[in-house]
Amino acid sequence: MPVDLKAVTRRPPEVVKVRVKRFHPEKGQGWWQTYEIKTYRGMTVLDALLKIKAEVDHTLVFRYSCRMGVCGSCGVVVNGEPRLSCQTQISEKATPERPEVVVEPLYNFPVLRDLTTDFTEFFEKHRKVRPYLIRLDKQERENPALEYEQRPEELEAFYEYTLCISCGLCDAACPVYASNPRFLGPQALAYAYRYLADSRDEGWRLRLEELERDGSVYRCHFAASCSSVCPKVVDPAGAIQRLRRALLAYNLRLFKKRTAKNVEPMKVSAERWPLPPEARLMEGVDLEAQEKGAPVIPKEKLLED
Amino acid sequence: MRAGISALVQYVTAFLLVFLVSWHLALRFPPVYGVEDFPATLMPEVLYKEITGSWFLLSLLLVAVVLHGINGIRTMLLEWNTSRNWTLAVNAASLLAAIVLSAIGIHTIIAVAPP
Amino acid sequence: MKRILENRLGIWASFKLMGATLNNNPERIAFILHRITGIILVGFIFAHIVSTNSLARNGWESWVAVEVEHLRGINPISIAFFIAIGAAVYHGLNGIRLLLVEALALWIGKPERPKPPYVAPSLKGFQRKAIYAVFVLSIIIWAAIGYVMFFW
Ligand code: SF4
Ligand code: FES
Repeated sequence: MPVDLKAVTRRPPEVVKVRVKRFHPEKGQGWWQTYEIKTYRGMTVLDALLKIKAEVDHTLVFRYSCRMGVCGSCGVVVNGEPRLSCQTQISEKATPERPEVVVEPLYNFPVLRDLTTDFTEFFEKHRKVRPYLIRLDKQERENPALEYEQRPEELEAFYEYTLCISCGLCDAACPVYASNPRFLGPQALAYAYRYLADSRDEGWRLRLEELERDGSVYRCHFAASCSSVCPKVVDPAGAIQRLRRALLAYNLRLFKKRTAKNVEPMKVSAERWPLPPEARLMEGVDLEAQEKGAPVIPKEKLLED
Repeated sequence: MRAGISALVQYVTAFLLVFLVSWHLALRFPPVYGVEDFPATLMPEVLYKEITGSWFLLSLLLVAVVLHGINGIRTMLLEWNTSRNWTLAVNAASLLAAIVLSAIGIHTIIAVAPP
Repeated sequence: MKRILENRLGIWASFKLMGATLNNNPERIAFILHRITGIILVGFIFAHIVSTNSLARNGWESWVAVEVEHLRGINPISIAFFIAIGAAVYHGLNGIRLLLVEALALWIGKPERPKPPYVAPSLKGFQRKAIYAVFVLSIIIWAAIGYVMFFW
């Protein structure tokens, strides 16, 4: 999701119409509702929804938690584009000519109420790709005594895919996920690649055999909408193409992977790094003693309020 | 594995078709036969020589295009609805269509009479 | 009464130009065009296979009278051919790009740490330039073919 700095920092129109697609399970039907709210600079869509809930209509239901793009629970569709509502500025979507923001629940997810969607299927698919390290040495895996060795460049190969916050925006944008309920979806497949590419994982044979099944990598047609909406730049589209290359190599008996060995934990040297010459210790501070326990700072050195 | 095979068929036929279709279209370019316009490349003498001369490439083109097209449409139809009966029906219809269309095309190639 | 609202877009997501509302995503447009041209081509090529069969059934006389003469000048048949050839050109060029991207995972960049302006590597890779090249080239080639077909 590229950030347009101009658009996110400008002042939004004074008054903005927020059109929300609502659904009530007891009424059993959906309807559109329009609210008018006063805006301020820096207002996000989530702020607008909270303001509506506080001041206009307290029956509006939506999900959020962190308000800062970390938890991944606030995904909605804003003006036809799946977005995290806490990371979408009103000013990005509402222009002076058209001061309107249309908020819908995430596409392709069952709607529980208003903007709250059901993620059961999403997490079942996530679980299907075995999102955990598989080691051949069961004993060591259950009761680890050693450490894995991993080089920095091996970390780079999959680090990007570990950033996923499971917000489901990629699945909402995917045209194949929209029509094929058996398709695992970009998020699950990106996770499959994250563990396949991890040098600590030894279960590649199992993973690749499972990815051969219908409803998996071969259903992707590289519309790349997942990568273009992902708020964490996880790049599921690239991951799926790499999975496909791995599968091709595997079927031609060419797939190779260097897996990490278990090694003895690194020795931590007990030596203290020498202080830089310009550093001066506070009076009355005993470094050696502090290394043994919690720092004790002389009372008279504490700042008084 | 079956999903993998259908994808492999799609990629291999796609690769062949890139060359075969370019060839098929390029033969309609007037200077290839030194005639004055494009329908003239479809005149009996020219065409008969082409069909009998490159029957193998033409049948390869036919089979590749039928497989690629039907497999593509089949994928779309299977995405549209995923019930078991629909899947069976689509697969059966695809097989039937592939056989019938290949038969018609092959018939054209072998039954063509000299002008 | 529905307790839960099903919100799947269905197969129409593959044809709706939602791609236009998504930021930075010409791949979606290429994908939709690939599907549409594919459907056009299947319809056309199967009709083409059946109609050229008249060569074997009715002989050369009717071939020249019915099939060839209809390709001369501008008329519905030659326009259908023109559209189908345009579809084939786009489908083929985009297909080459997809073969390289999908089957071999080329042109999609390297995994990297996110940094401003936060564009995914596969959207910055060479395949993005290839999309524009495909759009431009297919229009040029299509126009050239139109010239050969109608004005040669
Ligand atoms: S891959 Fe990106 S869009 Fe998809 S769930 Fe993870 S963070 Fe969200
Ligand atoms: S509220 Fe946590 S990501 Fe938006």
